[in-house]
Amino acid sequence: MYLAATSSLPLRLYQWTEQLFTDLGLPLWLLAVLVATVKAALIIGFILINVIFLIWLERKLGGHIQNRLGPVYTGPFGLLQTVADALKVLVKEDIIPAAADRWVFMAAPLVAFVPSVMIWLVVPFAPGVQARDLNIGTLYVAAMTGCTVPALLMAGWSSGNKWSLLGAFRAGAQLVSYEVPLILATLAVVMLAGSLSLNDIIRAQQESTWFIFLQPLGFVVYLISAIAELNRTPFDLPEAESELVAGFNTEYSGFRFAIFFLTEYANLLGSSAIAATLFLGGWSGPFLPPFVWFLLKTYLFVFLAMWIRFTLPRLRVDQLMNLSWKFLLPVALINVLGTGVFVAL
Amino acid sequence: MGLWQQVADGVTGVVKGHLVTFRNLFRRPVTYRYPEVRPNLPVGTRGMPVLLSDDEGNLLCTACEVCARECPVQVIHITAHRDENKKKVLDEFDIDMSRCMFCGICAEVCAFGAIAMSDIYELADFEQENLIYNKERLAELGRRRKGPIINYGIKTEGNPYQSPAEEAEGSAGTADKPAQSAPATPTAGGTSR
Repeated sequence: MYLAATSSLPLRLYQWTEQLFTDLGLPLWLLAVLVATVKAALIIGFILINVIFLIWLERKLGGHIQNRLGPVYTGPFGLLQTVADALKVLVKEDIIPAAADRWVFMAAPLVAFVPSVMIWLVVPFAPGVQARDLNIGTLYVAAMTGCTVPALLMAGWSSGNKWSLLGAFRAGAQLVSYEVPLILATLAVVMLAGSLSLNDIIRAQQESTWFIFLQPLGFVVYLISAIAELNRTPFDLPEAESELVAGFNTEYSGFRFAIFFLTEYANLLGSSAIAATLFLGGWSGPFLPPFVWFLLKTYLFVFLAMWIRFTLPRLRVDQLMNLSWKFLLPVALINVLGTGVFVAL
Repeated sequence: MGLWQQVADGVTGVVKGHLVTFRNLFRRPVTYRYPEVRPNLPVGTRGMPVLLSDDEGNLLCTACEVCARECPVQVIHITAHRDENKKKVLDEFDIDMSRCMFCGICAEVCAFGAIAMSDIYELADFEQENLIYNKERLAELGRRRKGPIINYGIKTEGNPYQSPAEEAEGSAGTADKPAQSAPATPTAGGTSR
């Protein structure tokens, strides 16, 4: 019933527009461009609204975990705090240091932002509500998360500042190291589902059970690696404020800093959505509408990430590398091996 | 210690840590929302020093100048003259609150118990001259004493936001005009207690 309700309205709208285009004699590629633009606008709108909420949630959760209140004054429960902060940061001067590599410096935030949005191309919000169901969905997601590294290196290198450069180096090393266990954890899920498409993975979970129960080890590996990929607190070495001022975004201000900040939270939301899809069954669930299930599961992962952030202290660089190469990678490999045996049986 | 022991210790440590933060998530926050909620300060809190008076309203100070000499930052200025009985009479008693460091030594050394540390701490002002408190203002604040002197400190009553001039004028509805005589305590925000 819900499937019909969520998928028929856009479909009817599309058919109506198609009819309009043929009646007016407009070319159909224009329709394709229009549809793509509408989808992109909807996704970016979804990301922006959620990021505003996420930043508020992070501050509120952090506050209460530390027995503080968090934001309280702007709007009900301080909900408009992020809006105020965003307005503040957008009217600030966009400073480009004299020593910076100007064009690379200016382009870096945008290069970082694009992959964080691109991930959402394959995220299934609800049955039939997905920008495009790629049959290589998970591979595409892995490729897109990997695209963050050049952006951070660009930002660090072009700033002409030693802290930025060190932060970017760390980011590069960290992202490359944790990409491996992340992909291996995803691989085990793909082996269980027998498909790289995120929709097929959800359907496979509807048939059996949530993959978190079949892949507890895989989920833990995914969780740790994803948090490392997101540069969040136990692994926030690239922007460790006590060591590197702010890492690769030291020299950024105003609008460009806001883009970096937005990217960080968009990536958190994206990873959470992917984790919800891979391990928690995505939009599938009883009673509630699929989109609500999708949001609930996504926010469960977001909560986990924030909870971990306000519990664990930052790792050292060598500990970070050890955890990835000497612990997570063998565990992920064993997990893949075990899953292979399980699937073969 | 073997590898498995290390892994087990690490995992239990992380899990325990998360339980602690999770418990704290639901604990009542300890934050005072300060301008709206004010802390109940104990007697003996070292706020600004005030001059105490006897029951008839005369200052206890005998102008012996011990406090002025002991003050580490030398912010107390006393002038006095001798009357026909060669007895010292206090003319001026100024404390420059812009430099006072709230050490409480003036109250401790006073042999006559004429100075006490009050619980008044909201002293910000737009004019630096207003921070030089004269005899009359210090005495007025001292007359707000409520309860005993403990550890050279007293508690005061009355709205700490409102100057006496504003309190007097407040009922007449002209509170927005700054009084000619400097306010006894600064007006901030205008929120009621």
